[in-house]
Amino acid sequence: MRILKNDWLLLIARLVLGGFFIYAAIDKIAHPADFAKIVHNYRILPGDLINIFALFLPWLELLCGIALVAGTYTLGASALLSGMLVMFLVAVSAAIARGIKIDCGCFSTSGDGAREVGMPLIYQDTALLLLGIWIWARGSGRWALSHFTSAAR
Amino acid sequence: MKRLVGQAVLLTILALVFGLGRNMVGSNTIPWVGDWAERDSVLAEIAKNPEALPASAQDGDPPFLTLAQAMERHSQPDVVFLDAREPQDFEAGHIEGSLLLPFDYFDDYWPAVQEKLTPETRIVTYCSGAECELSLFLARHLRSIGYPNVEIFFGGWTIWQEGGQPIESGPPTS
Repeated sequence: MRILKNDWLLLIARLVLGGFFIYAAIDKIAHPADFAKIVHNYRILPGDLINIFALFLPWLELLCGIALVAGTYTLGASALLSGMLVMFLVAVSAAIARGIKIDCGCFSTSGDGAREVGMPLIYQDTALLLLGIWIWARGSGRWALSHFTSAAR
Repeated sequence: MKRLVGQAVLLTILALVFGLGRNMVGSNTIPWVGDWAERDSVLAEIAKNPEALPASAQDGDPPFLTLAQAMERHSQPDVVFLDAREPQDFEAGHIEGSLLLPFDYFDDYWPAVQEKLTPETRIVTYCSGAECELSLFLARHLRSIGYPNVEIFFGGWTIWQEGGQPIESGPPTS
């Protein structure tokens, strides 16, 4: 599997996964109240934790996304993003299994262009998770900030 | 492994600092603990009795739609949603694609809306929700002036929004 060792592909994977999460985070950071409602709709977290979680999660998405794109703290960022994707997969599966029809809150909190939870979302998150695990296993590769600065890889 | 944990912890702490810190400054803040119990009780009330009808409903009124039925109508491009509330309510937020036709100022707004309708057009009226009957009055009136295919989404803006359905805001575009 030489393809898995290609540094250019690794760079693309980092840009795709990182860019995805940066994009996903921005609207949630801008609309915390709406995002909290979406978290509540999933009916997983206890009520007292919902707002704190809704404030914290988008920033974690953003920081990890930036780290991946820049290619620094790659190990921690890819592990956290993979963890988040597992969490999203569990939450979406639970919503599907319980028959809750909700806006997934993936990219937009406003309901414009909203996506309902469903199988396409499972496929998308699974694909992203594979990218995340690959980056996690490989590290940042050659085309990364850490490679040039000898900062944390 | 040590490096992995160190990086993950640092990123997590930074996210907490930024996320919680941002909620302490600026205007776009939310309470640390939300009143979800109240929202749940509203939703439970609706779930218990989704077909609740307005007090003034009578036999022979246009059909009332549940949220699921309203969603189905909304997915069809030829169905027109009419918002019977005040213009400022409409501007603050309304069902995506709906037109403004306040029942209280019907004559002022009717000409602009009429252009977009034919007597065959399928229409859904709504207002703010369970405590408002403007949608019913508007639907009755429309039927009386020759628009028979009118239905009422009595759950209205409240239920639509709580159900996480598509919304938009701003003045009507003509």
